[in-house]
Amino acid sequence: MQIVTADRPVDRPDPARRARRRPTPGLALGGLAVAAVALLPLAYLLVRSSEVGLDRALDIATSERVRGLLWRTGLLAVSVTVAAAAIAVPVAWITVRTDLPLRRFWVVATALPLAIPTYVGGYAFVGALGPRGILQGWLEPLGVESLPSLYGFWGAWLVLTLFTYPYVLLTVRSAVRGLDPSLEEASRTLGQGRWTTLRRVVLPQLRPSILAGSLLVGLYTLSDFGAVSLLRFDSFTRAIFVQYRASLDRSTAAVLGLVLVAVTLVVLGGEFAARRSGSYHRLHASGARAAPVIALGRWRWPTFGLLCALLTVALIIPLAVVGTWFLRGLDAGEPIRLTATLAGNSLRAATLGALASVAAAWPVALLAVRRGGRLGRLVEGACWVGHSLPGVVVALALVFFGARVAPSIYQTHWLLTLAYVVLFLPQALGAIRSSLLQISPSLEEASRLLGRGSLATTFRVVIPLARPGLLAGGSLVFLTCMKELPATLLLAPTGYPTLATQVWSSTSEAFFARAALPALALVLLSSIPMAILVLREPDR
Amino acid sequence: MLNGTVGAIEVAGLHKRFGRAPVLQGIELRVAEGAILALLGPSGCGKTTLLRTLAGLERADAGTVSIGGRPVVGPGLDVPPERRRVGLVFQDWALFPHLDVAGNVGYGLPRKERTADRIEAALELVGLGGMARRQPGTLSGGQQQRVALARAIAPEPSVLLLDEPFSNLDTTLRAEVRTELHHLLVELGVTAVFVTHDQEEAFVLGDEVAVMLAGEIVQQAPPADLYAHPATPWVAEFIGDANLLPAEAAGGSAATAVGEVTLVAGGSGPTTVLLRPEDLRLSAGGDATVELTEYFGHDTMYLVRTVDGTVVRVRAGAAPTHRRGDHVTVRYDGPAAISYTSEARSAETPPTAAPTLASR
Repeated sequence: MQIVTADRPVDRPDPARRARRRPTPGLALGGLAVAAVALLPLAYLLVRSSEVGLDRALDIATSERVRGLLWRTGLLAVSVTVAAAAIAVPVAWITVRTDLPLRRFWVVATALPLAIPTYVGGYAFVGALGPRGILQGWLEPLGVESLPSLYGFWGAWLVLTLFTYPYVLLTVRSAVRGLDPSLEEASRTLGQGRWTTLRRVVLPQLRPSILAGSLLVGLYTLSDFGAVSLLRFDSFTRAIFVQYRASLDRSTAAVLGLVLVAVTLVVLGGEFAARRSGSYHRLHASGARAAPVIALGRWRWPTFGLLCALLTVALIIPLAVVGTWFLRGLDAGEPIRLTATLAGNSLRAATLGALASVAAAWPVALLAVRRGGRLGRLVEGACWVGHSLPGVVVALALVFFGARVAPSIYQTHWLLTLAYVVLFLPQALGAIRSSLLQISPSLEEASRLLGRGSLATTFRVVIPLARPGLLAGGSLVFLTCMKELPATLLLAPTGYPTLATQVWSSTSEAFFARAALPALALVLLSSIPMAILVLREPDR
Repeated sequence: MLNGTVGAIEVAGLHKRFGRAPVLQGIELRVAEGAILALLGPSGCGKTTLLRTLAGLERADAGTVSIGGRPVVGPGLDVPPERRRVGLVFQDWALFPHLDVAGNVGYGLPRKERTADRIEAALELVGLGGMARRQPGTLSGGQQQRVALARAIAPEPSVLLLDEPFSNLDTTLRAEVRTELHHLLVELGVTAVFVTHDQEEAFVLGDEVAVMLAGEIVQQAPPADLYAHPATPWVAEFIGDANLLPAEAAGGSAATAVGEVTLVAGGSGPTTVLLRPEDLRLSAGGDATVELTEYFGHDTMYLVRTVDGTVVRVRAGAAPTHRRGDHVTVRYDGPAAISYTSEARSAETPPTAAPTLASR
């Protein structure tokens, strides 16, 4: 049989491609300035490392100490990532697709551990199980003098896994919601059972989201400073910090920082390659039909029990421990007024960071969305470079920069705000970008034809319409700045403690009661926007 | 063509409800071995649900289904889809985006039979030879549909189900793809059931057409029988242009707005008579008026208002010879007409899809 058909490729209009014009000089300059700021830490780190000479730098980078650090940090990143994915993927699927009891509650509850900064998690862990911790206190009358040490690899692994798995959960869950149920049905009609379908159709579909979520966890683990240093795990970030604080040889710290940046780039590159080879897009927009609810049957309550266990370990116990220390602190007369000052400091620093990030993201988003082209991609890419750098490294680079090149802003809010912009600008960028994409270019064109100039159009049409994105981006950066630890620790003006630095320093010195109220305040301030974010997810 | 057994489908007393809303209400259906059945109905009539129930993707509340003589649905019985040997071509084709064309087509084959030859043979069958390594996203709509078809027939199912097989194609492509599919189904000799809301598709492809309304099969018959003898006025209107004229029956004929018409079944009293537009003739002069002329190329449709105000549709197989405002005479020149008692007419809700002026 001969089949001849005139086939035409399915073409889809690209709304962003419309109205692409050359950028105005002002916009181009603004974007380039932001890109320069984003690249500043990396550039300065290179300059500073080169001062020791290439031979010496290579010696440091290949020394046994660095190799050990690489091995330990890499092992931790891989183990945390694997464990986080192993928890998050089943939880994501169960909370979307099944008849789990109280499913709506679990959708929110399983994501909440993300509101607990890892150093607060580390604090809860040490405060419960460490020397002078709660458990030790209970056991002492029974004659137990010391507990097996929780410090080191396994402590860091547990804490980082419990408080970062929501990164994978959130990305995979949105992918599960987007699964086209007819693909699973097609597999069934082709003679494959439930489990085979899960393996051959569902998991391959989820692969990009699992990779994306795992990347977030992996990069986070590489850059985490608070939890690893509280749990005294000798990772790269801690080594850099100690090197910087303990010796005058700051160039060595700079070289270590560069090595960590290299590791980060390798991870990013690997993910990029994996994503390219596995790139596939949805062939059709999903039909109106919702995915059928899968009955768990006799596994319904055991599954419920497992989720209860997860919630207990990742949320209830940490909060209970912090709460216990808070009550003990009240008994011992810990000053509450101090926490109010700390909260004020945190709020002020985070507000500055959020405003500056939104202001910096605006020209970049405009360039990327409205003008497109090579310049837009270049500027946007530069912003992401800053974001992928570990906080310790950015802070270190800015310390060098401030002390040597710009002493007038060293030890001021300016430098700290600059660090926040470098680290978190892409969070604002993402939100602003997507809200700009939703504004039809013809609205701007209409405004211009009605006699408003470019600037007037921006203020009277574009900004009002992009407001949801500006607000969302701003609050996201605000939240992240509140929780940020290493850059705040290194760059905050002298005598300017924040909630985050207070939790960290009190815990490092085992003043658990002193850390309790700041930690509670942090979790509370972070969990409100978190809950709103999760509740806004679509249901199934 | 297919080596596997080709099976008949038998459905009896099938019921299904979604929550409170009944979707299937006692479906009775029989498809002979190797026959092609069109399930025709307006949207929301339950035809897709029926198809999915046959495939095992929906669970029936009551009734029985057997495929190839083997019961698959019955009291305490619901064979899972993977063990029904039913091929289904989805409305959106549901190609696996993570697999290439060969991966899609070979998906349902047992591991041992999943060979390049076997897959290529299935692709040749649908005219896609040499496309095995392409990604589904790079194919055109028509090609994607053929991959979906090859995937469904590769495991040699005993029946093939197709859900709105042409709805995702450009209108310009449809007629062409329809003929190809027709060729292929005939060549395969497979028992096939396809769902459509398009009367033309149902008539062209179906050996038999089952008309569905509100969860029931209203009538199942070969297309020509269906067209000539629709069971209800609603069916008559749904499957083609129809003039349903109020009439007064007396003996073997009835008096209508277009004159005396011979009836198939005699009777007396008020009735409704079905007159197809192509059975009406126009001649110049008279007391009816041409209100609109619609020229289609192969024929012309006239909307004519008779002296008592009834509007009738008249089809003539030529270029327009009467113009708007012309005075004409309409007369019936067809076989003995079907009539419906007024109870039968009021029992059915007229479809919104195909109203005719004559029914107002």
